[in-house]
Amino acid sequence: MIRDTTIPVWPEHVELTKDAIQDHVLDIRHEINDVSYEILQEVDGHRSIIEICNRVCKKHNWPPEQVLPDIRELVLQLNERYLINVRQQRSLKIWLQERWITVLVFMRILQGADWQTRHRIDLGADKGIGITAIGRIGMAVLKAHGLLGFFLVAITSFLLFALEVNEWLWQGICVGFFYLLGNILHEWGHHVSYQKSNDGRRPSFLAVKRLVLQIVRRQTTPENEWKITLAGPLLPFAMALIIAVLVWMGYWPGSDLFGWAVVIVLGIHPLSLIPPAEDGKRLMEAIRARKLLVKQEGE
Amino acid sequence: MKTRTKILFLFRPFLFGFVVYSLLTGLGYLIFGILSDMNGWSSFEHSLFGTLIFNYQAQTDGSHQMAFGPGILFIGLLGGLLNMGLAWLLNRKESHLV
Repeated sequence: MIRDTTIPVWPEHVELTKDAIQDHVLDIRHEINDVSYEILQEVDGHRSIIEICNRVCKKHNWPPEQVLPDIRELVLQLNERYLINVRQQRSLKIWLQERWITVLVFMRILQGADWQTRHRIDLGADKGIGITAIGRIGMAVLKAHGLLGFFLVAITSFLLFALEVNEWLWQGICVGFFYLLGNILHEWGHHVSYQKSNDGRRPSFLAVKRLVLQIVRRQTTPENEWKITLAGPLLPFAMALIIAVLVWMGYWPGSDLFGWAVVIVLGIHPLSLIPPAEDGKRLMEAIRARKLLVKQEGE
Repeated sequence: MKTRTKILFLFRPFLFGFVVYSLLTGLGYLIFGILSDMNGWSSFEHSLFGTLIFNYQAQTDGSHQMAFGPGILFIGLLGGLLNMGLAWLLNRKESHLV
């Protein structure tokens, strides 16, 4: 949520010029007017919206009460397009408010762009597919799914405790850990497949919303789109199969219930291939593009 | 706001609330039933406005019988309505001002 105390921050590979904001990852140029340029010049990653407002109003003798809503709207619009990141002031009250908003967004009680804050984390070509990329994906997964992971730990721990399972707490924590790990592997699978499917490495970024995470990248051929999309759920699903065998054969450390809970949190990933999930939508697009290509070749 | 958008705006939280509350109630009672069996608790029945939610019957041979009733859907319905009501209440003024 964009507040007056929110601090706008430029993401990596986004550049402000006199008449445009240049997105170097997607190679898109977003034109801006002079007033927007004057305001955005003040964005340095430390100043809040209200501080930026005070500075530009003092500089140009503008009325702050009229300019403040415009700055907020500008930041909101740029954030919606992943052209600017936002950071909240360090405060327990704001942190709790944000978590509460996430719960209400999850329950579909709060809807609309106003309640979303988007975050762009660079996953550029120069970051490769190793530790740095995994670290960045991990950070994005924590941002998007951290709260759900926490609820999962709470529910599973309570369930295991109620069923009088020994060492219920660490088993509950492990279910949450595997849930987050599954999501990291999912996105990493997409990323590796995308980087390997082309001749050279290509830039992309992680787009994080409340409870939603996806890799934004350039479109490739329908064949590659298939591979990239399927690569996501493949790793967590393979892991779920291995763990299922271990649990079934009695080699899994911990209770069976814990083992099956891990199998479920990892095994549900192929469901993301069904629309309206993001992977499902991409798959449908790839099928449509392939059909169109075949039709054009036939003609 | 168009009528269709308005309907969707309220239908989405209703549907989501219905599914979440039904599932949580069902899962909660399933755990409750397992716990009852493990601890050897006596038979019990929960209902809402005369509609059965859950019935646990302990048998004389030590086994048990669990039955879920349409009350779970009733709770889901109430949950959906609560969700929808909250969505209507909190989104009356479309504003992002704080």
